[in-house]
Amino acid sequence: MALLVTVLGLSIAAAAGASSVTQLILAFSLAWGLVELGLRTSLAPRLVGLARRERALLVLVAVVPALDVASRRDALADAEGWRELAPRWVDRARLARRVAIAPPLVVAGRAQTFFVRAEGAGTVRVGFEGEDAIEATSLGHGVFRVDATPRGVDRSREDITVTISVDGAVHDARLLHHAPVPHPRGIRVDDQHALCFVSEESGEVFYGVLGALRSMPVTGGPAACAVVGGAVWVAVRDEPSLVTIAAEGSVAARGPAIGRGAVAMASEGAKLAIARSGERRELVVLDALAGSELARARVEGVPLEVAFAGDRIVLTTRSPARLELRALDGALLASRDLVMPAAALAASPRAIAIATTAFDEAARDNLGNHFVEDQLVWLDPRTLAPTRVVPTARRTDRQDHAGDADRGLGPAALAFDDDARLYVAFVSSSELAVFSPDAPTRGVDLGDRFFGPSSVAIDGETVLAGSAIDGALVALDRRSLEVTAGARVAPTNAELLREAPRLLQVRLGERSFFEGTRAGASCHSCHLGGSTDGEAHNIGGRVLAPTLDVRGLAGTAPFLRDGSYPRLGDLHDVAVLEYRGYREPAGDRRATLEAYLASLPIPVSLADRDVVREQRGLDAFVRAGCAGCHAAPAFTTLARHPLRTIFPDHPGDAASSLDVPALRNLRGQEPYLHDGRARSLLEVLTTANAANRHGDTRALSEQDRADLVFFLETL
Amino acid sequence: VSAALTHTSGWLAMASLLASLGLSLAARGLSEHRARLVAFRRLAGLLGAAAALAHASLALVAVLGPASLEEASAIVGAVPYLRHGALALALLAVLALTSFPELNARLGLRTWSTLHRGVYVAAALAALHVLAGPSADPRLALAVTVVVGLLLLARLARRGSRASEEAREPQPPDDT
Repeated sequence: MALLVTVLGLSIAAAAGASSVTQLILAFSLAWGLVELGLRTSLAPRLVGLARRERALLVLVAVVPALDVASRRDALADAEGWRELAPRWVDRARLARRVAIAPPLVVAGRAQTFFVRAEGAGTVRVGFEGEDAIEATSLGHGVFRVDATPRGVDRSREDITVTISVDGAVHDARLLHHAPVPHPRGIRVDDQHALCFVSEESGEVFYGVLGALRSMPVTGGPAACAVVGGAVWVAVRDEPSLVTIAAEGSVAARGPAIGRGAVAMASEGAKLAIARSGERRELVVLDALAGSELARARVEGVPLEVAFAGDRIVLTTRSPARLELRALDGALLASRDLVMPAAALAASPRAIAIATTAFDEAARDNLGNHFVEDQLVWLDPRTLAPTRVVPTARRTDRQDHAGDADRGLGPAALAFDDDARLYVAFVSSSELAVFSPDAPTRGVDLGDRFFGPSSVAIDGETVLAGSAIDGALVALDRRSLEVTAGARVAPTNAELLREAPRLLQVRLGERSFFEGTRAGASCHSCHLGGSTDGEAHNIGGRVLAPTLDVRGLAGTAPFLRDGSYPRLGDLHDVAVLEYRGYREPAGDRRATLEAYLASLPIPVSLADRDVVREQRGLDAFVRAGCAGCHAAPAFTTLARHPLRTIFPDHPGDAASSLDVPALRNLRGQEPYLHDGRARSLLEVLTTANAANRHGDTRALSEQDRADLVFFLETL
Repeated sequence: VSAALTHTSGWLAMASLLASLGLSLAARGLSEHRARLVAFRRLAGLLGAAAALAHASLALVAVLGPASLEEASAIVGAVPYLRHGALALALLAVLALTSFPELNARLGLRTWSTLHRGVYVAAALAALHVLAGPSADPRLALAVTVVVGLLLLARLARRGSRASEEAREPQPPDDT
């Protein structure tokens, strides 16, 4: 009878195209019912006591429907959520340990904040391999915070041991280890041909001339540099003071204090303009040589880039996407809201140029399948009115002729020369192009030198271009665009393959992240440099969703807002399924993309610290029930919840789920929540939680909410 | 309190279900205590079904909250771990109802025993529910899944050995 039920059940399941457990159960229940019915009728003698040959025949008959059902195993696994079970279980089990630490990634030389959960513990000390233990700060409720800049271990090591001492009892944890290679960014040159550039990843500043570069370690994340008065001035993300390096010197010294969170710097003569996004978002103007502060002005959005346009300062921001023109005293002269934030900026007294993925206002209403339209926009330096718009991507060629050479993808750095020619580095390919006001556009493929030029600067008759991905630079003749010299600050692929294969995987994954797909978009198009553009996109014709920051994803499977991607490498499917895939094969992109994304650390919060207030905030966090889903140490349980159970007013279908996000790096990540309904963290706790099902925030007092926001901003 | 009750009732249902399966296995091995073990098995099964019902009711209130019944059923149908739980509950309810002597007699021993093999499907679904659900300790969830798997394997192994015995010497149908 079992054989009959099996054969019949498989046949029904195959005929009905069953691809879920429910359908399979129904098919087999129906089969069982039919066999039972048969047994109670005149068929009974034929159904019981089948001969061996008849049984064999039945088994043969079952082969075809069995194969048919088996062919739908992927659909079955998707429908039942089985693909994510294993990776999620691994990450959840790590977080469920009695003493758990997160994130599970140690980046050598990078300031990081770790959290430890050790319930009932009095003191916790954390020791990174080869280093003295650090005492963790207790925030209450068994949650401890550790601020550290681990030195790391040998570059070839893929993991590192961390010792967690809880009231004297020692627990070991193995964390991923990443020792980044230099990533040259933000080349700056003075009129004496002295250049500088920074590598935030490896914590270094490079300076000198292309043939004789020197490097200086600068802790705290060197974000930008400039050469002024024969010295190199470095703005550091995690430090409040600038760092100065005498051109011929080998010692870094503290410069003027501007506050933490520097993201960009520009120079004009002795003046330095620094955009920062620390405790406050500000534009700071200094006279470098006099050591005096000329101006300090608040900025509404998250600053991206800054440049001098003669006696004015141009600033780009995201959240909101905006272009601002300011006087040297910081006063706002003009501003222009952008559809998408500027990915690059250049300015001269004669023109301002930005690179963006959408400029036309009509794109704002594009609720269809959003696609990226890389373009350059020239604007009047007095009024910010656009004077020229040039789409750079050649979309049709790519779509119709798979494998054709691509041009104009991912403009990531811009520089004007004295003749108003605009030099553009396209990070999503290997191209450097020159846009002239009165001559055809010219381009040069730097593919034999490196992939993904991400910075460009003009040095007299020479153009300097660098690739952060490949850690290399070239000098080109400004007229002929012929390469005249090159330099490398990071190991070659061959060297990495020999010494640290994992780092080669990371590099290749980084390339995939920035590389343009056939549809013209790259991951970088929206996740600017691994961060976010602060906008909402409609991918695959679904609802608009704010772009997520992709830093700090390691150990938080599954991924995407709905948790539909079990592994980081599955994000490769976005490129393949939504954006037509890559033009050229490049090994196992899934694996390399996963290696790259897993190597990106969570930036340290630059919010003010106040342990007592943080403790009050965490207490409010627990009282409101937030910790039920956003549990320490990762501030997520990695669970998936039906969206409507948390936000009953969600307009999507009932099947929508929400993967509980890790509450890290929240500051400056507005808009918040799955649909961007909250413009601030306070709104998350108030107006965006009208049903009071996203935590019992109604029970909190105003002071509780303020403390809770304060705490969240420190994560 | 509501969340704690939901979790407790859920784990009680799972524990009872495992106990029921374990007792079933034990009853086959310990024939001298068979009657008593079968009685306990029935009690464990009924307790499991009752606890599962309580768990589902509490979860419906605590998790789905003010959602209408129509919307709640749409959510349960759409989310895999809720769907697995609901299917397991439906199976357990059928098994609980048919465990009473009146229905037992009307169904006939063979139909009843075939139907009650569905408890393994219910246990597998419950394990999936726990494994993919948002709240259970992942290590405990894995342990439960392994135990369910082992019990299922033991059942299949026994069935395999019985089939080979039957092939040698035909016997009357099993009563379990």
